[in-house]
Amino acid sequence: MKSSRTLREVYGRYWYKFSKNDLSIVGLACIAGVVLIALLAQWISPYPASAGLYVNFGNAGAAPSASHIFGTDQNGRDILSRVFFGFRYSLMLVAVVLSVTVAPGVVLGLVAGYYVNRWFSAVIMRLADIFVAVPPLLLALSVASVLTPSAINAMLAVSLAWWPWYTRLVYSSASSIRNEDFVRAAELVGASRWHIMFKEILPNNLGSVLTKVTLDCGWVILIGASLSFVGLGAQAPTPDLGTMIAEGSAYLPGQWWISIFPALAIVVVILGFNLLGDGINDMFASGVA
Amino acid sequence: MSNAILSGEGLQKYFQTRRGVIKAVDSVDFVMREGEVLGVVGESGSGKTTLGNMIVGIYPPTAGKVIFKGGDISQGAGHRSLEIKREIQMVFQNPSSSLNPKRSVRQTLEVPLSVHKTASSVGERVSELLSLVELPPEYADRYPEELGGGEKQLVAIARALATNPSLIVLDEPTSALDVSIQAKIIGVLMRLKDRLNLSYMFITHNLSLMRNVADRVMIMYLGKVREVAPTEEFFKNPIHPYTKMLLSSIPVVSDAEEAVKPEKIVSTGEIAGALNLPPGCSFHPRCPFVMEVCKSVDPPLLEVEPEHFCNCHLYPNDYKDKKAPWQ
Amino acid sequence: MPLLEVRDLRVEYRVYEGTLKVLNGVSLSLERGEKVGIIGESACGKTTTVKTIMGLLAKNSKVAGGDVTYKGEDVLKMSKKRLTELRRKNISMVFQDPSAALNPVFTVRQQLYDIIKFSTDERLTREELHEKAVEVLRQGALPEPDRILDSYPFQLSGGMKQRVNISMALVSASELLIADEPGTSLDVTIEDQIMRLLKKIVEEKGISIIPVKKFVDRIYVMYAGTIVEEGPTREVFNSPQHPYTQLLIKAVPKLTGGGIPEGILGQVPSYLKPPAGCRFVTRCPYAMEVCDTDAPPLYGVGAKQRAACFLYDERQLPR
Repeated sequence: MKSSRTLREVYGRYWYKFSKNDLSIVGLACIAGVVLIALLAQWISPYPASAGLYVNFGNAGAAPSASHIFGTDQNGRDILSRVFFGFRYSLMLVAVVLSVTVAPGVVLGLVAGYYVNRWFSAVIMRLADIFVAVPPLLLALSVASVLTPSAINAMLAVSLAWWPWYTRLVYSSASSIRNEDFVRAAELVGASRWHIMFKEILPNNLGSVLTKVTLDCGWVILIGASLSFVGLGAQAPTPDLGTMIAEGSAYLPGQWWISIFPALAIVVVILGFNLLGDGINDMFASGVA
Repeated sequence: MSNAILSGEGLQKYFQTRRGVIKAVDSVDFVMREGEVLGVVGESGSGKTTLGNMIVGIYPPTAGKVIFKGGDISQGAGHRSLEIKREIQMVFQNPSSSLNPKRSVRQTLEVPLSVHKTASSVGERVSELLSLVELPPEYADRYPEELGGGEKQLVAIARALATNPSLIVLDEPTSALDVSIQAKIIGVLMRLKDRLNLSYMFITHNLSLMRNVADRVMIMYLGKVREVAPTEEFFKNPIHPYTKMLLSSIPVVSDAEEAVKPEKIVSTGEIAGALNLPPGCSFHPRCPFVMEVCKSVDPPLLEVEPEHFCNCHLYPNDYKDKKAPWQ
Repeated sequence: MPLLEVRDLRVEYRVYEGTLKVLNGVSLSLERGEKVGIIGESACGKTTTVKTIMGLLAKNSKVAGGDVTYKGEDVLKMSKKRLTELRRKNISMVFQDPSAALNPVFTVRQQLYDIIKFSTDERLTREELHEKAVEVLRQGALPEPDRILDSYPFQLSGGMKQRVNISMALVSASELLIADEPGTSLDVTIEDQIMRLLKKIVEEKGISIIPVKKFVDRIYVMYAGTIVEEGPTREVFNSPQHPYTQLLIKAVPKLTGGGIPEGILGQVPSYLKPPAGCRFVTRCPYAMEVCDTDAPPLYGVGAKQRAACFLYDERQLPR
């Protein structure tokens, strides 16, 4: 009655669960769009030069029009092009922060969760608690203010605030999975600790980690933008969405387009990642239908 | 009479909790012979699973010894030699938790094979293990979610067999399954036992099942052994009042079975909480034959008939001469 | 007129793989004061049947045919208001897991008072509520009702929780009590007490009950969404007629010993593509040609038993 599943069946089921909620598809579409735009920014921006040190005061502060759909900023740069390049910067921030934090966070959580009654588990978790107790934005602010404000330091600061969430997530599920009978069975057989942690426990956490990664993409972008907004992140002329909003805020409400369009862009990205994250969560949720 | 493969001497397991000490297993002595099926029967809180866990080494006993083939193996699994781990295996109760949902049957079976290097060709051995538990070789590439409960339990049995053990602790291996599937699993287990010369400690709450598979039955109640006897003798001549209450509570399907139940002892009361064990015999609050002495003195386990042990104040060694107080 | 009558009920569930055709023409009936049981293995459709009767089917399910009548009223076509009314005053249910039906953050008093208030249109005073609560707890054979009332569920043992559940069910079950394996998650000695309690309640109050195991006058045997056999409990257990019932009862370990036979070979068919004829055909040792194509009706066997099997057809069917 049962035959081995083909790849198509496996992914078909995942897609069925993911797509049951229409909003997940909207999220996927948003993020796919943003990623494509970021990758192809050079070629699809109407004014690629606007991303860098480019000044055209003759055309400064122009309202949205056919040639500049989002208008131009105080230096005469095309806002649409800068938003396109801004996506690229945002996604880079996300990629760097998450690639630096997820792996160590997950491993620490795995170790602390498997050795839940040992002293170093307590040390890891208290350390994580301390970092969690400080709001990420505040921690990022203090790091950025001690070091020179730059894009790299902003990423470093955000990373410092981020790893404990993964540690906590994996810790809580690993410390319950370690009591499952299949872990007991592996221990009784004499399997190595490395095997038990990485081959038995970790695969059962990947779904929730992936969901969190997706949801976090949005938050990392938001925090990065906030840092830039207060001047502690990316510096001019880097086309960063937060910096753009900050610069444009001086011209509100008259030249509203200078900050409103980058703000809308942030909303789209964050909303997109959140909806996508919900979809991924549904995808890994167990249960029939 | 074959030799003892496993024995327990004064086994104790106490768990320290915030609200007090839980005496999960308290002074348990038993002997298991080679090639035997020992049925360890009890209700929840009887300590039967704790006993099994000490034997496989999930945790060490608080006091007392576990002796396996003449050697002391009282340590937890972490301190046992690889050889002892190879010899003693376990099958768990819950089929859905006993297999890792992210690993295929092959991956699951390969773990013991690679740790113990018991086979020259891993792939062949996997098919061989599957055929031992009467599953077709294609099952190697399936994942737990594609298997029924009984099939999962067969894979768990194959995993336990992978190390060529001599003793398997079966912790309620069929209690989560339907009866028609239980029959299949029991059939496989019994054939394997004869073929591979295994000994089983069969932990269960199901006395009817033990009637059909165990060589000897051991009844536990609140951490203590209350009665031990060879199966035939046990069901023909149950002695302890708790055993009788248990036997008369069993739901049966036919009139023939109703006829073999002991005189009806109506079940009353609740099983005491493990934290506040009654003093004396822990069964005395539910016992219809309770005497003054039961409330303060815990009776010792005595041989009342050849091979038939029981701990109850009603039955000193010469119980046949003495009349029980209600007679 | 029977108290409850289910006729040719068909229920389907919609899932990713397609449609699960779970109930395939289930018919059963129950007289006032009668104790009727449904037995069968997991996923045989017992719970779906009971849920349909109570109007508790999940969202992805659909009643594809048949009807359920309660005292002549069609339950499936009933307005929501009328259904609630029935559940408030006439029908109630006890679930398998004693803890699942109790809210852990409220005392028994709070939960029981709510149920009592819900079950009546009158406004009761606190004293009346208390009186009624103590009365139902007494019926549930709970000692010290006042202590129980002020306990939270976690302070009670599994057996006591199930007694509280039965007491709560009794508030609204003036005519019909449905019990879904009320004892199976408890220890045998405690299960025995619970079943004896249920039996006593039914005999005293004259309400009907559908518990899923014993102490019943009549049982229905279900396999893969169909009723395969029906008859008085003793007769069915002592001389089962349908091949499935025969094999099932053989597979139960007996207190009289004699070893354990092989059980039933093969697996329950998938509800996605169930066999067109008899649903047991894939595992039946006596399968005939006709079993592949036609679903057998219930044939009378002996005085009171009925079995859905072509072996009891008068025609000489080819093997």
